Amino acid sequence: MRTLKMAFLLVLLVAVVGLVGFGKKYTIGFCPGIVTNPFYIAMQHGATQAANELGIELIWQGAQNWDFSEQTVILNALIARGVDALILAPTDPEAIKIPLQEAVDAGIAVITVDTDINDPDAEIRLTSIASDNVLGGFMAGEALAEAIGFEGEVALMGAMVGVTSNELRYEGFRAAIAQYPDIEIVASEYSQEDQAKAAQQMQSVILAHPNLLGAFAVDTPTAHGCAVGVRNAGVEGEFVLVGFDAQPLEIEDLQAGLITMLVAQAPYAMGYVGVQLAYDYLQGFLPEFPGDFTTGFYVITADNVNDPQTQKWVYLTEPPTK
Amino acid sequence: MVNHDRRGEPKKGGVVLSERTYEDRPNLWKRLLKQWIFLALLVFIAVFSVTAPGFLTVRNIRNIISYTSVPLLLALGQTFVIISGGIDLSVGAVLGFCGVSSALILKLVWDATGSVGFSIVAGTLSGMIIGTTLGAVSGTMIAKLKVPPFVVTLGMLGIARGCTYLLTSGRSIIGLPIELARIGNYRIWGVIPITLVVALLLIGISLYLLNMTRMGRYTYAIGGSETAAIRAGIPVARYKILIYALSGFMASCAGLVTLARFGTGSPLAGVNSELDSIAAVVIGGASLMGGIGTIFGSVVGALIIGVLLVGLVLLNVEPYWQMVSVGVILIIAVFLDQVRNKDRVQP
Repeated sequence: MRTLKMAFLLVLLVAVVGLVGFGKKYTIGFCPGIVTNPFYIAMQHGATQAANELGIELIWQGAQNWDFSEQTVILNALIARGVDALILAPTDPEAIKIPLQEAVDAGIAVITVDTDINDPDAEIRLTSIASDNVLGGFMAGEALAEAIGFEGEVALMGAMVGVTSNELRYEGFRAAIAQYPDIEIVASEYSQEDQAKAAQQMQSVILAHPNLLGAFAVDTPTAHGCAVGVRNAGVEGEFVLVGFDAQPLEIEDLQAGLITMLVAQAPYAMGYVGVQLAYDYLQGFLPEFPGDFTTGFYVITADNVNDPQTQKWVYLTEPPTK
Repeated sequence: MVNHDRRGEPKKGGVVLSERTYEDRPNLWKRLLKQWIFLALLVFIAVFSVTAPGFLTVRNIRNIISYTSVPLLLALGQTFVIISGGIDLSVGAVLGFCGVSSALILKLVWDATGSVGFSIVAGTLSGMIIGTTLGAVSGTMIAKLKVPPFVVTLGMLGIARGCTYLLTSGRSIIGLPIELARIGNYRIWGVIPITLVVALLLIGISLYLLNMTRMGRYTYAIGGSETAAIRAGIPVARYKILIYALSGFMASCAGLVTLARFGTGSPLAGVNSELDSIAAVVIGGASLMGGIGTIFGSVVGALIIGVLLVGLVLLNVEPYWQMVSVGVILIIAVFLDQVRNKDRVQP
């Protein structure tokens, strides 16, 4: 009788332990570059979707400024909270390495999204999920070159200096234009992600260069600002403005004929795949990562902007409800 | 404790310290608790310790200290500036400029001499000299050319940040000796971060300067009433230059701390941090009209910003609320000080 009782208790114990073990909820910390940007809000939707499907607790916490020391304190807080995996969109490819190493030392799996750190041998992060920003800039350059007939003056309307993803797009854009000896980049401006500044800069550049045929605006605030500049300069319809990203206000500008085309990234996929891969890793499914992931682009023009397929690529402005 | 006899005569020393004065003098704790903002900090810490998972861990406390040290150092210099009735909007940009220029100098010296120790010393000293010089330049324009501090330091913000981008072409300066990051992340006995030691040292220096020297007294005097200060024969211009130079020096120290902690000179270091430093000083009870403020208050103000940020992250509160909370506390702080100072005689 006593043995039976013991055996029964043992089975119960195993069952409880098994259930608890089975029901173990992973906690994944996700730290975007800045919380206010629809790009990251779309990423948050993707991450939340994956977390809900997989039964993971997602802690979405990011800085209010594009500032690596603010991101570091949030990162360290997530480490202190004891997350199982960390997904991070680094604000600085170098400065964030030392804090990320701390996460690794604490036994936390690290994945980067959107921008990668300088870690070619993957000693710190497991993998990186991002757009190929050089390719994105190159695509924009190619599209612009084609639209103006492969000759004439164009402008590069940049946003920030020193932000890796922006720098890579400039690089890709310049490489694409360099293929065509008859196209000249006559102006490069940096809006500091300020729409009003971008509008003013676009207008000034158009005034200063009467033969300017088109421009590439490297991100959302710049593209929207440049669209306003194009309208103010009164050249809408004839000026080719290629924008980057696909935020709702850029789509409106495209529908209004101010922006000619947009190179959209896939932030939703970055968030979703990031959480999925972190989960797989924690489950032991992916001990070795095959390499880095690129999520691709989608070119939006006036011809396809109303397709249901295109609508899925438009970024989101409302954070998901939990 | 002084050894008294029954009649209240101290056994040694010439000064008579009566029993009554001794009893009435509030002890340190009582004085601290009178500072409502210090109370608020304690309340925040207590609430987060109970509610936020991982808040009361060594790692997290270190995290708060490391993060707070930069706005704190900026706030130390800013305290002098604000007490003197001015404002320094350039501290974040000076931080960034000093960070990258000392990284560049460090690298140059390292390449030239091959000595890691010498290059780190050279980089550190030149960073401090550059920061102090930039501060002194702002101060000179404010004191001698009578351009308002807001305008001068806003201009300096643009100049220093622009030069930072020019120097680096916008890229982080990498390839610095690994020893630099080792120093920046060194922990004494494996626990106390070096940034805390630097912060305490500079807090000590600031306390000394503000409370025990002529410079401190003159800072309050200039902020209280500049006209009165001039009439009293205080060399106002000289001390204003000194005050802004000190702010530049503190900004350079913050830049060096950032450089050493991250092991790379980033041109984005310190963007917007001037606002945090001003918020810390104002939350700490300083008046933007000048004449009022303490180092202790600014330290508490900076800690409140850091504790709130980390606590709300750990609670997984939607990030926008962090901005809201610091904004609310800033306004409450200023409002309460207005109420408290209502009875004060206006200069």
